[in-house]
Amino acid sequence: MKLQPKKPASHCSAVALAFAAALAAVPAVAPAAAPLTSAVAPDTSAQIVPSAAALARMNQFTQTMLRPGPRWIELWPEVIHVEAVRR
Amino acid sequence: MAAPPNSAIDFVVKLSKYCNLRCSYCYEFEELGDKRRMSLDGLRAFFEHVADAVGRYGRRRIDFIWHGGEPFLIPLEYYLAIGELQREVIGERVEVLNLVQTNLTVLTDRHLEFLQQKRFFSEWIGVSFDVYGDQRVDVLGRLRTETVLANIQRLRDAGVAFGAITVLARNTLPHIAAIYRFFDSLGISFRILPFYKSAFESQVQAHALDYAEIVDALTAVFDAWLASPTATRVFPVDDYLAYALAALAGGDKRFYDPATGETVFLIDTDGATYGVADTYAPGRAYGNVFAQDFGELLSSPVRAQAVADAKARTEKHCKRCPYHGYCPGTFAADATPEQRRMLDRDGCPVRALITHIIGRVEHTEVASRLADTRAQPQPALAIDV
Repeated sequence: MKLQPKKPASHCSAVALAFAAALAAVPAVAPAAAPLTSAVAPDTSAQIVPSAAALARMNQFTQTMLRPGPRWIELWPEVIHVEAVRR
Repeated sequence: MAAPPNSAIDFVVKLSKYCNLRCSYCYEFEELGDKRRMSLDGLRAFFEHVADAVGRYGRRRIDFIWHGGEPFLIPLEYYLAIGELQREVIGERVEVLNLVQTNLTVLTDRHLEFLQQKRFFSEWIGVSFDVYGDQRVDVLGRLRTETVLANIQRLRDAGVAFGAITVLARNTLPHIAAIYRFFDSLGISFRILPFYKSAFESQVQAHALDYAEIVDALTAVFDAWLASPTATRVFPVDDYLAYALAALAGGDKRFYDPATGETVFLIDTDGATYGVADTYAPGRAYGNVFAQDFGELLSSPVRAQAVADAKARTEKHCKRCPYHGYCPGTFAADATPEQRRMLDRDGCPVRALITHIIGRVEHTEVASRLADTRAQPQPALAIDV
Protein backbone atom coordinates (compact mmCIF):
# COMPACT_ATOMS: atom_id res chain seq x y z
CA MET A 1 0.00 0.00 0.00
CA LYS A 2 1.33 3.40 -0.91
CA LEU A 3 1.77 5.88 1.89
CA GLN A 4 -1.06 8.38 1.89
CA PRO A 5 -0.17 11.61 3.68
CA LYS A 6 -3.15 12.82 5.67
CA LYS A 7 -2.02 16.41 5.22
CA PRO A 8 0.18 17.95 2.57
CA ALA A 9 3.67 18.95 3.71
CA SER A 10 4.38 22.63 3.44
CA HIS A 11 7.70 24.22 2.64
CA CYS A 12 7.74 26.20 5.87
CA SER A 13 6.24 23.67 8.21
CA ALA A 14 4.31 24.24 11.42
CA VAL A 15 7.04 22.38 13.29
CA ALA A 16 9.82 24.58 11.91
CA LEU A 17 7.81 27.69 12.72
CA ALA A 18 7.19 26.46 16.27
CA PHE A 19 10.90 25.81 16.68
CA ALA A 20 11.80 29.37 15.72
CA ALA A 21 8.92 30.95 17.61
CA ALA A 22 9.59 29.18 20.91
CA LEU A 23 13.23 30.18 20.89
CA ALA A 24 12.42 33.77 20.01
CA ALA A 25 9.74 34.05 22.68
CA VAL A 26 11.75 32.47 25.46
CA PRO A 27 15.45 33.31 25.35
CA ALA A 28 17.85 30.87 26.94
CA VAL A 29 18.18 31.48 30.66
CA ALA A 30 20.18 29.41 33.09
CA PRO A 31 17.97 28.96 36.14
CA ALA A 32 21.06 28.75 38.30
CA ALA A 33 22.05 32.24 37.20
CA ALA A 34 18.58 33.72 37.37
CA PRO A 35 16.39 31.50 39.55
CA LEU A 36 12.87 31.08 38.24
CA THR A 37 11.61 30.02 41.63
CA SER A 38 13.16 29.16 44.96
CA ALA A 39 13.56 25.42 45.32
CA VAL A 40 13.17 25.37 49.09
CA ALA A 41 10.50 28.02 49.60
CA PRO A 42 8.67 28.57 46.34
CA ASP A 43 7.57 32.12 45.78
CA THR A 44 3.84 31.85 45.25
CA SER A 45 3.15 35.47 46.12
CA ALA A 46 2.61 36.27 42.45
CA GLN A 47 -0.26 33.89 41.74
CA ILE A 48 -0.71 32.48 38.30
CA VAL A 49 -4.27 32.28 37.03
CA PRO A 50 -4.73 28.73 35.77
CA SER A 51 -5.87 28.45 32.19
CA ALA A 52 -9.15 26.69 31.38
CA ALA A 53 -7.15 23.77 30.00
CA ALA A 54 -5.07 23.46 33.18
CA LEU A 55 -8.22 23.61 35.32
CA ALA A 56 -9.78 20.91 33.17
CA ARG A 57 -6.83 18.61 33.80
CA MET A 58 -6.97 19.27 37.54
CA ASN A 59 -10.70 18.61 37.54
CA GLN A 60 -10.07 15.35 35.73
CA PHE A 61 -7.77 14.24 38.53
CA THR A 62 -10.10 15.38 41.30
CA GLN A 63 -13.10 13.63 39.77
CA THR A 64 -11.09 10.42 39.87
CA MET A 65 -10.28 11.12 43.50
CA LEU A 66 -13.80 11.99 44.54
CA ARG A 67 -15.90 9.40 42.79
CA PRO A 68 -16.78 6.07 44.43
CA GLY A 69 -14.70 3.13 43.35
CA PRO A 70 -10.96 2.59 43.20
CA ARG A 71 -9.31 5.88 44.00
CA TRP A 72 -6.68 7.61 41.97
CA ILE A 73 -3.87 6.15 44.01
CA GLU A 74 -4.92 2.67 43.00
CA LEU A 75 -5.32 3.77 39.45
CA TRP A 76 -2.46 6.17 39.00
CA PRO A 77 0.16 3.92 37.41
CA GLU A 78 -2.34 2.71 34.86
CA VAL A 79 -3.98 6.09 34.34
CA ILE A 80 -0.67 7.76 33.76
CA HIS A 81 0.75 4.89 31.79
CA VAL A 82 -2.18 4.52 29.45
CA GLU A 83 -2.41 8.23 28.93
CA ALA A 84 1.29 8.36 28.18
CA VAL A 85 1.01 5.52 25.72
CA ARG A 86 -2.32 6.32 24.14
CA ARG A 87 -2.37 10.06 24.09
CA MET B 1 0.44 -0.79 46.81
CA ALA B 2 -0.01 -3.74 44.48
CA ALA B 3 -0.41 -3.35 40.75
CA PRO B 4 -3.93 -2.26 39.81
CA PRO B 5 -6.13 -4.62 37.85
CA ASN B 6 -5.49 -4.79 34.12
CA SER B 7 -2.20 -2.99 34.43
CA ALA B 8 0.81 -3.41 32.21
CA ILE B 9 4.38 -4.44 32.68
CA ASP B 10 7.07 -2.65 30.67
CA PHE B 11 10.06 -4.40 29.15
CA VAL B 12 12.59 -1.89 27.82
CA VAL B 13 14.30 -4.09 25.25
CA LYS B 14 17.85 -3.24 24.17
CA LEU B 15 17.54 -4.87 20.77
CA SER B 16 20.93 -3.41 19.78
CA LYS B 17 23.16 -0.66 21.13
CA TYR B 18 24.08 0.50 17.63
CA CYS B 19 23.30 4.17 17.05
CA ASN B 20 23.99 6.83 14.46
CA LEU B 21 24.13 9.56 17.12
CA ARG B 22 26.83 10.23 19.69
CA CYS B 23 25.09 12.21 22.44
CA SER B 24 27.79 12.52 25.06
CA TYR B 25 25.32 12.19 27.94
CA CYS B 26 24.05 8.80 26.72
CA TYR B 27 24.40 6.01 29.28
CA GLU B 28 25.10 3.61 26.41
CA PHE B 29 27.84 5.84 25.01
CA GLU B 30 30.63 3.26 25.11
CA GLU B 31 28.58 0.70 23.14
CA LEU B 32 26.95 2.86 20.48
CA GLY B 33 29.18 1.44 17.75
CA ASP B 34 28.32 -2.17 18.58
CA LYS B 35 26.17 -3.65 15.81
CA ARG B 36 25.28 -6.86 17.61
CA ARG B 37 21.57 -7.41 18.09
CA MET B 38 19.34 -9.81 19.97
CA SER B 39 18.89 -13.05 18.06
CA LEU B 40 15.45 -14.37 17.18
CA ASP B 41 16.29 -17.47 19.23
CA GLY B 42 16.97 -15.26 22.23
CA LEU B 43 13.76 -13.35 21.64
CA ARG B 44 11.77 -16.59 21.33
CA ALA B 45 13.09 -17.70 24.71
CA PHE B 46 12.32 -14.25 26.15
CA PHE B 47 8.71 -14.43 24.98
CA GLU B 48 8.30 -17.96 26.33
CA HIS B 49 9.70 -16.91 29.68
CA VAL B 50 7.36 -13.94 30.15
CA ALA B 51 4.11 -15.07 28.51
CA ASP B 52 2.63 -16.73 31.61
CA ALA B 53 4.85 -15.23 34.30
CA VAL B 54 3.52 -11.70 33.88
CA GLY B 55 -0.01 -12.99 34.59
CA ARG B 56 1.20 -14.56 37.82
CA TYR B 57 2.74 -11.16 38.63
CA GLY B 58 -0.74 -9.66 38.30
CA ARG B 59 -0.32 -7.97 34.93
CA ARG B 60 -2.62 -8.29 31.97
CA ARG B 61 -0.59 -6.55 29.29
CA ILE B 62 3.04 -6.46 28.20
CA ASP B 63 4.44 -3.28 26.72
CA PHE B 64 7.59 -4.12 24.81
CA ILE B 65 9.48 -0.85 24.43
CA TRP B 66 11.97 -1.40 21.62
CA HIS B 67 15.00 0.61 22.55
CA GLY B 68 18.63 0.99 21.65
CA GLY B 69 20.80 2.29 20.22
CA GLU B 70 18.58 3.52 17.45
CA PRO B 71 15.80 0.99 16.79
CA PHE B 72 15.13 2.30 13.26
CA LEU B 73 18.59 1.18 12.17
CA ILE B 74 17.27 -2.37 12.52
CA PRO B 75 15.64 -3.58 9.27
CA LEU B 76 11.85 -3.47 9.42
CA GLU B 77 11.74 -7.12 8.36
CA TYR B 78 13.30 -7.97 11.69
CA TYR B 79 10.37 -6.41 13.52
CA LEU B 80 7.95 -8.33 11.33
CA ALA B 81 9.78 -11.53 12.29
CA ILE B 82 9.57 -10.52 15.96
CA GLY B 83 5.83 -9.93 15.56
CA GLU B 84 5.45 -13.42 14.07
CA LEU B 85 7.32 -14.85 17.05
CA GLN B 86 5.07 -12.98 19.48
CA ARG B 87 1.94 -14.34 17.81
CA GLU B 88 3.37 -17.86 17.77
CA VAL B 89 4.79 -17.92 21.30
CA ILE B 90 2.62 -15.52 23.31
CA GLY B 91 -0.55 -15.78 21.27
CA GLU B 92 -3.62 -14.72 23.24
CA ARG B 93 -2.14 -15.47 26.63
CA VAL B 94 -1.55 -11.81 27.37
CA GLU B 95 -2.18 -8.56 25.53
CA VAL B 96 0.90 -7.13 23.86
CA LEU B 97 1.81 -3.62 22.76
CA ASN B 98 4.96 -2.86 20.81
CA LEU B 99 6.30 0.65 21.34
CA VAL B 100 9.51 2.23 20.13
CA GLN B 101 11.81 5.00 21.31
CA THR B 102 13.58 6.57 18.34
CA ASN B 103 15.86 9.55 17.76
CA LEU B 104 13.85 10.13 14.54
CA THR B 105 16.88 10.85 12.41
CA VAL B 106 16.23 7.77 10.28
CA LEU B 107 12.71 7.86 8.86
CA THR B 108 12.20 6.63 5.34
CA ASP B 109 8.85 6.60 3.55
CA ARG B 110 8.78 2.90 4.28
CA HIS B 111 9.18 3.60 8.01
CA LEU B 112 6.29 6.04 7.80
CA GLU B 113 4.10 3.57 5.98
CA PHE B 114 5.06 0.88 8.50
CA LEU B 115 4.07 3.17 11.38
CA GLN B 116 0.95 4.47 9.70
CA GLN B 117 -0.32 0.95 9.10
CA LYS B 118 0.68 -0.23 12.61
CA ARG B 119 2.34 -3.25 11.09
CA PHE B 120 4.34 -3.86 14.27
CA PHE B 121 4.51 -0.79 16.48
CA SER B 122 1.23 -0.11 18.25
CA GLU B 123 -0.62 3.12 18.37
CA TRP B 124 2.11 5.47 19.45
CA ILE B 125 5.85 6.02 19.21
CA GLY B 126 8.32 7.87 21.41
CA VAL B 127 10.74 10.42 20.00
CA SER B 128 13.93 11.35 21.85
CA PHE B 129 14.48 15.00 21.10
CA ASP B 130 15.93 17.83 23.19
CA VAL B 131 14.75 20.52 20.70
CA TYR B 132 17.47 22.96 21.75
CA GLY B 133 20.97 22.26 23.00
CA ASP B 134 24.02 20.81 21.33
CA GLN B 135 24.11 17.17 22.34
CA ARG B 136 22.22 15.30 19.68
CA VAL B 137 24.97 15.00 17.10
CA ASP B 138 25.86 12.26 14.65
CA VAL B 139 29.14 10.34 14.43
CA LEU B 140 30.68 13.27 12.53
CA GLY B 141 29.61 15.75 15.19
CA ARG B 142 26.83 17.32 13.12
CA LEU B 143 23.75 18.50 14.98
CA ARG B 144 20.69 16.68 13.62
CA THR B 145 18.00 19.09 14.77
CA GLU B 146 16.84 20.05 11.27
CA THR B 147 16.37 16.42 10.31
CA VAL B 148 14.32 15.67 13.41
CA LEU B 149 12.15 18.76 12.95
CA ALA B 150 11.42 17.72 9.38
CA ASN B 151 10.62 14.17 10.47
CA ILE B 152 8.31 15.37 13.25
CA GLN B 153 6.44 17.27 10.57
CA ARG B 154 6.27 14.10 8.46
CA LEU B 155 4.89 12.11 11.42
CA ARG B 156 2.22 14.75 11.94
CA ASP B 157 1.35 14.88 8.25
CA ALA B 158 1.07 11.09 8.18
CA GLY B 159 -1.16 11.04 11.27
CA VAL B 160 1.23 8.93 13.35
CA ALA B 161 0.68 9.49 17.08
CA PHE B 162 3.79 10.21 19.07
CA GLY B 163 5.16 11.76 22.24
CA ALA B 164 8.64 12.91 23.12
CA ILE B 165 11.33 12.61 25.75
CA THR B 166 13.75 15.45 26.46
CA VAL B 167 16.85 15.01 28.58
CA LEU B 168 17.25 17.73 31.18
CA ALA B 169 20.99 18.17 31.50
CA ARG B 170 23.59 20.93 31.54
CA ASN B 171 23.08 21.76 27.86
CA THR B 172 19.27 21.82 27.85
CA LEU B 173 18.72 23.54 31.20
CA PRO B 174 18.95 27.10 29.82
CA HIS B 175 16.34 26.22 27.20
CA ILE B 176 13.75 24.43 29.33
CA ALA B 177 11.12 27.17 29.01
CA ALA B 178 11.53 27.26 25.23
CA ILE B 179 11.40 23.47 25.08
CA TYR B 180 8.03 23.47 26.89
CA ARG B 181 6.77 26.22 24.63
CA PHE B 182 7.82 24.29 21.52
CA PHE B 183 6.01 21.10 22.48
CA ASP B 184 3.03 22.95 23.95
CA SER B 185 2.51 25.04 20.83
CA LEU B 186 2.36 21.84 18.79
CA GLY B 187 0.26 19.91 21.31
CA ILE B 188 2.94 17.24 21.69
CA SER B 189 2.94 15.66 25.14
CA PHE B 190 6.42 14.91 26.43
CA ARG B 191 8.50 13.68 29.33
CA ILE B 192 11.35 15.60 30.89
CA LEU B 193 14.04 13.17 31.92
CA PRO B 194 16.56 14.75 34.27
CA PHE B 195 20.00 13.22 33.62
CA TYR B 196 19.78 10.16 35.86
CA LYS B 197 22.03 7.41 34.64
CA SER B 198 25.62 7.47 33.47
CA ALA B 199 28.18 5.26 31.80
CA PHE B 200 31.20 6.81 33.51
CA GLU B 201 32.00 9.46 36.09
CA SER B 202 33.06 12.20 33.69
CA GLN B 203 29.55 12.13 32.20
CA VAL B 204 28.17 13.04 35.60
CA GLN B 205 30.62 15.91 35.93
CA ALA B 206 29.78 17.24 32.48
CA HIS B 207 26.02 16.79 32.35
CA ALA B 208 24.44 16.22 35.78
CA LEU B 209 22.39 18.97 37.40
CA ASP B 210 22.09 19.65 41.08
CA TYR B 211 18.91 19.52 43.11
CA ALA B 212 18.14 23.24 42.89
CA GLU B 213 18.63 23.30 39.14
CA ILE B 214 16.25 20.38 38.59
CA VAL B 215 13.63 21.78 40.96
CA ASP B 216 13.85 25.25 39.44
CA ALA B 217 13.49 23.85 35.94
CA LEU B 218 10.49 21.68 36.77
CA THR B 219 8.73 24.42 38.75
CA ALA B 220 9.22 26.76 35.80
CA VAL B 221 7.68 24.14 33.53
CA PHE B 222 4.74 23.65 35.89
CA ASP B 223 4.10 27.39 35.97
CA ALA B 224 4.27 27.53 32.17
CA TRP B 225 1.86 24.60 31.96
CA LEU B 226 -0.55 26.19 34.48
CA ALA B 227 -0.83 29.40 32.47
CA SER B 228 -0.87 27.80 29.03
CA PRO B 229 -4.16 28.00 27.09
CA THR B 230 -3.47 24.51 25.77
CA ALA B 231 -1.74 23.04 28.86
CA THR B 232 -0.16 20.19 26.93
CA ARG B 233 0.74 17.46 29.37
CA VAL B 234 4.30 17.18 30.48
CA PHE B 235 5.63 14.39 32.62
CA PRO B 236 6.70 13.93 35.40
CA VAL B 237 5.07 17.28 36.29
CA ASP B 238 1.65 15.78 35.52
CA ASP B 239 2.37 12.96 37.98
CA TYR B 240 3.40 15.46 40.65
CA LEU B 241 0.20 17.44 40.07
CA ALA B 242 -1.77 14.27 40.83
CA TYR B 243 0.21 13.79 44.05
CA ALA B 244 -0.36 17.42 45.09
CA LEU B 245 -4.11 17.21 44.48
CA ALA B 246 -4.28 13.94 46.38
CA ALA B 247 -2.52 15.60 49.30
CA LEU B 248 -5.05 18.43 49.21
CA ALA B 249 -7.89 15.90 49.04
CA GLY B 250 -6.56 13.93 52.02
CA GLY B 251 -8.08 10.54 52.68
CA ASP B 252 -6.55 7.12 52.52
CA LYS B 253 -2.89 6.76 51.75
CA ARG B 254 -1.27 4.18 49.55
CA PHE B 255 2.37 3.29 49.30
CA TYR B 256 4.50 1.87 46.52
CA ASP B 257 5.59 -1.69 47.20
CA PRO B 258 8.48 -2.55 44.91
CA ALA B 259 7.94 -6.28 45.44
CA THR B 260 4.56 -6.20 43.71
CA GLY B 261 4.53 -2.79 42.05
CA GLU B 262 7.80 -2.79 40.11
CA THR B 263 6.71 -2.13 36.55
CA VAL B 264 9.73 -1.37 34.37
CA PHE B 265 12.39 -3.97 33.60
CA LEU B 266 15.33 -3.46 31.26
CA ILE B 267 16.44 -6.35 29.08
CA ASP B 268 20.03 -5.99 27.89
CA THR B 269 21.10 -7.23 24.48
CA ASP B 270 22.40 -10.46 26.02
CA GLY B 271 19.16 -11.07 27.97
CA ALA B 272 20.44 -9.85 31.34
CA THR B 273 17.47 -8.32 33.13
CA TYR B 274 17.57 -5.35 35.51
CA GLY B 275 15.32 -3.08 37.46
CA VAL B 276 15.65 0.63 36.73
CA ALA B 277 17.46 1.48 39.96
CA ASP B 278 20.48 -0.71 39.29
CA THR B 279 20.59 -1.03 35.53
CA TYR B 280 23.97 -2.42 34.39
CA ALA B 281 25.39 -2.36 37.92
CA PRO B 282 27.77 -5.31 38.36
CA GLY B 283 26.10 -8.19 40.17
CA ARG B 284 22.68 -6.50 40.15
CA ALA B 285 21.00 -8.31 37.24
CA TYR B 286 17.94 -10.24 38.41
CA GLY B 287 18.94 -13.02 36.04
CA ASN B 288 18.76 -13.68 32.31
CA VAL B 289 15.36 -13.83 30.69
CA PHE B 290 16.79 -15.66 27.67
CA ALA B 291 17.65 -18.55 29.98
CA GLN B 292 15.24 -18.33 32.92
CA ASP B 293 11.52 -17.96 33.49
CA PHE B 294 10.62 -14.40 34.42
CA GLY B 295 9.03 -15.69 37.64
CA GLU B 296 12.40 -17.09 38.63
CA LEU B 297 13.96 -13.66 38.13
CA LEU B 298 11.25 -12.00 40.22
CA SER B 299 12.02 -14.31 43.12
CA SER B 300 15.80 -14.23 42.74
CA PRO B 301 18.04 -13.29 45.69
CA VAL B 302 19.37 -10.30 43.71
CA ARG B 303 15.87 -8.92 43.25
CA ALA B 304 15.04 -9.60 46.89
CA GLN B 305 18.04 -7.44 47.78
CA ALA B 306 16.94 -4.77 45.31
CA VAL B 307 13.47 -4.72 46.88
CA ALA B 308 14.99 -4.47 50.37
CA ASP B 309 17.24 -1.62 49.23
CA ALA B 310 14.28 0.19 47.66
CA LYS B 311 12.26 -0.16 50.87
CA ALA B 312 15.21 1.12 52.88
CA ARG B 313 15.44 4.20 50.66
CA THR B 314 11.73 4.84 51.08
CA GLU B 315 12.08 4.46 54.85
CA LYS B 316 15.01 6.87 54.87
CA HIS B 317 13.70 9.55 52.53
CA CYS B 318 9.88 9.29 52.61
CA LYS B 319 8.86 8.33 56.12
CA ARG B 320 8.88 11.88 57.46
CA CYS B 321 7.64 13.48 54.25
CA PRO B 322 4.17 15.04 54.72
CA TYR B 323 3.16 13.90 51.25
CA HIS B 324 4.09 10.25 51.60
CA GLY B 325 1.09 8.15 50.75
CA TYR B 326 -0.22 10.79 48.34
CA CYS B 327 3.10 10.52 46.55
CA PRO B 328 3.68 6.77 46.50
CA GLY B 329 7.44 7.13 47.06
CA THR B 330 8.48 5.70 43.72
CA PHE B 331 11.21 8.28 43.13
CA ALA B 332 13.16 7.26 46.22
CA ALA B 333 12.43 3.56 45.83
CA ASP B 334 13.58 3.43 42.21
CA ALA B 335 16.39 5.98 42.53
CA THR B 336 19.50 5.39 40.43
CA PRO B 337 22.96 5.96 41.97
CA GLU B 338 22.95 9.54 40.66
CA GLN B 339 19.50 10.17 42.16
CA ARG B 340 20.52 8.56 45.45
CA ARG B 341 23.39 11.03 45.77
CA MET B 342 20.92 13.87 45.31
CA LEU B 343 18.50 12.43 47.85
CA ASP B 344 21.27 12.03 50.42
CA ARG B 345 22.76 15.45 49.82
CA ASP B 346 19.78 17.69 49.20
CA GLY B 347 16.53 15.84 49.75
CA CYS B 348 13.71 14.83 47.45
CA PRO B 349 12.94 17.02 44.44
CA VAL B 350 9.45 15.54 44.20
CA ARG B 351 8.63 16.93 47.64
CA ALA B 352 9.78 20.40 46.54
CA LEU B 353 7.62 20.17 43.41
CA ILE B 354 4.54 19.06 45.34
CA THR B 355 5.02 21.97 47.76
CA HIS B 356 5.30 24.36 44.84
CA ILE B 357 2.23 22.97 43.08
CA ILE B 358 0.12 23.10 46.23
CA GLY B 359 1.16 26.74 46.65
CA ARG B 360 -0.07 27.43 43.15
CA VAL B 361 -3.39 25.58 43.28
CA GLU B 362 -4.53 25.87 46.91
CA HIS B 363 -6.50 29.07 46.22
CA THR B 364 -8.20 27.75 43.11
CA GLU B 365 -11.72 26.38 42.73
CA VAL B 366 -10.25 22.89 42.45
CA ALA B 367 -8.69 23.06 45.91
CA SER B 368 -11.91 24.52 47.35
CA ARG B 369 -13.93 21.62 46.00
CA LEU B 370 -11.45 19.12 47.40
CA ALA B 371 -11.58 20.84 50.78
CA ASP B 372 -15.41 20.82 50.79
CA THR B 373 -15.49 17.13 50.02
CA ARG B 374 -12.83 16.44 52.61
CA ALA B 375 -15.07 18.00 55.27
CA GLN B 376 -17.87 15.54 54.52
CA PRO B 377 -17.86 11.82 55.38
CA GLN B 378 -17.21 9.76 52.26
CA PRO B 379 -17.69 6.10 53.21
CA ALA B 380 -17.96 5.04 49.59
CA LEU B 381 -14.38 6.10 48.98
CA ALA B 382 -12.83 3.79 51.53
CA ILE B 383 -12.21 0.95 49.17
CA ASP B 384 -9.22 -1.29 49.44
CA VAL B 385 -7.87 -2.88 46.33
